Amino acid sequence: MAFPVIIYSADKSRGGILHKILKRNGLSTLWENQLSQTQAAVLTHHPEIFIADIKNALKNEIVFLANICLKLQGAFLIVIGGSVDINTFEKQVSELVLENNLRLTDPLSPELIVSKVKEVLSLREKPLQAQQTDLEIDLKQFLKL
Amino acid sequence: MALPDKNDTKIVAIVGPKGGVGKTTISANLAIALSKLGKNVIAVDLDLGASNLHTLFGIRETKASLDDFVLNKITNLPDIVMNTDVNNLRIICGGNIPGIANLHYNKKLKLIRNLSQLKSDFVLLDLGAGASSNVVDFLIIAQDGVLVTTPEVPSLLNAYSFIKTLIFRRLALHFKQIEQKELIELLDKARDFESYPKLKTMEGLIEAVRSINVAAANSIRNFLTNYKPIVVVNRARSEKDADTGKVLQNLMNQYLSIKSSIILSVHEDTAVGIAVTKLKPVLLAAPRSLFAKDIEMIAQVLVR
Repeated sequence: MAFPVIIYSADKSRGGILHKILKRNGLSTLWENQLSQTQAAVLTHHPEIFIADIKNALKNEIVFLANICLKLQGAFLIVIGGSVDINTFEKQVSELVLENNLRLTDPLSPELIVSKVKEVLSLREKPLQAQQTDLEIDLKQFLKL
Repeated sequence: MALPDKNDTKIVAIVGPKGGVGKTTISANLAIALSKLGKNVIAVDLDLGASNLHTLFGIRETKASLDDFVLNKITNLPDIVMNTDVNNLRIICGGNIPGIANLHYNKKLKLIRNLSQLKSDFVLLDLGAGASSNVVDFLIIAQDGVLVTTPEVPSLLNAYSFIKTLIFRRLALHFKQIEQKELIELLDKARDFESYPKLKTMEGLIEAVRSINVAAANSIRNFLTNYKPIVVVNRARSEKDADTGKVLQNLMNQYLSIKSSIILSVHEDTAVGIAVTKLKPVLLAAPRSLFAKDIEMIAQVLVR
């Protein structure tokens, strides 16, 4: 089974909360708390979204995660942690990675993360060209397009 | 219209083509979110004739405002910048004197020049509703434009029309600058695209411009490639509501050749009404609310 969402959090309590709430919202999610397993999971599952919890992470841990991020192949990245952790992370990754991510500073807001994960997944499920919705038809009519 | 020289300040215009979409609430809170990121911010109430940004900060008495600047009681705009209770955040209160909404061209130009010379990391312009030149011209001096809409059809329609108006205004200024009458006439035809269906899309217009002036066509292409409007769908009650921004994005892509718009959404949140009643910005009254988190995300996009 491929997991579209993978979480890395070494913190059992934060990782557990996120994993639980994402699953409760029907989002197929894998949570890893060790770096090597996270790397293996990313390479195996090619997730749509990778959530990296770097709260109080050591510099080596952040460097390792930054390397994992380079292997994400277009996945959306959500980085959560304290502002110092996030600054350290930003210094380790390239502009390319930064362009495709969302950085959320503490306090942890699982509801916001669920909402953004759903938003990203729904955007990726429906290519832009295919969205000829009733709303689009209405707008085109009113705009005479 | 000669645009002023740029300095290091990033000017961000917040527009809500349809009134009542929550533009000013977003402006006030976005200003706070940017200041919380350590940026110096000046929020300017440019909703001329209907200004109320200061009330969202709980400022009851304004010692000076844009009225004084427009009436020439104060010569330099920095002299009416007021401190607020929020660190790094200052405000220029708006004007409400009769006639200020239809600002005379020279006064508008003077105001634009002064705005462009303000020294701060960010200058946030809270513009009025509608797509009059008094709104659009202020947007033209901004490096980033945040367009606030709600998920309903009337608001989305106004948002699309506003962006089209802005592009046409830009093109008109450019064509006037290069003094090419044929291009100005072509632009007039494109406004009446029902009579000239080939000019219905920006691609069609660019091709028509190319047959007259290749450099002008390349310059339009360059502008559209670099133009990244940020569309914020406010009061999204569901994912479907948040997705309405993508429909707008499709239309902008298809008909206006805007390939890199940024679509964000802000949750409907009861914390907003409660905070506004208390005359307190949401980011101070309810910093952990969904609304606050969404606004912080917009701030992060702007800082990037």
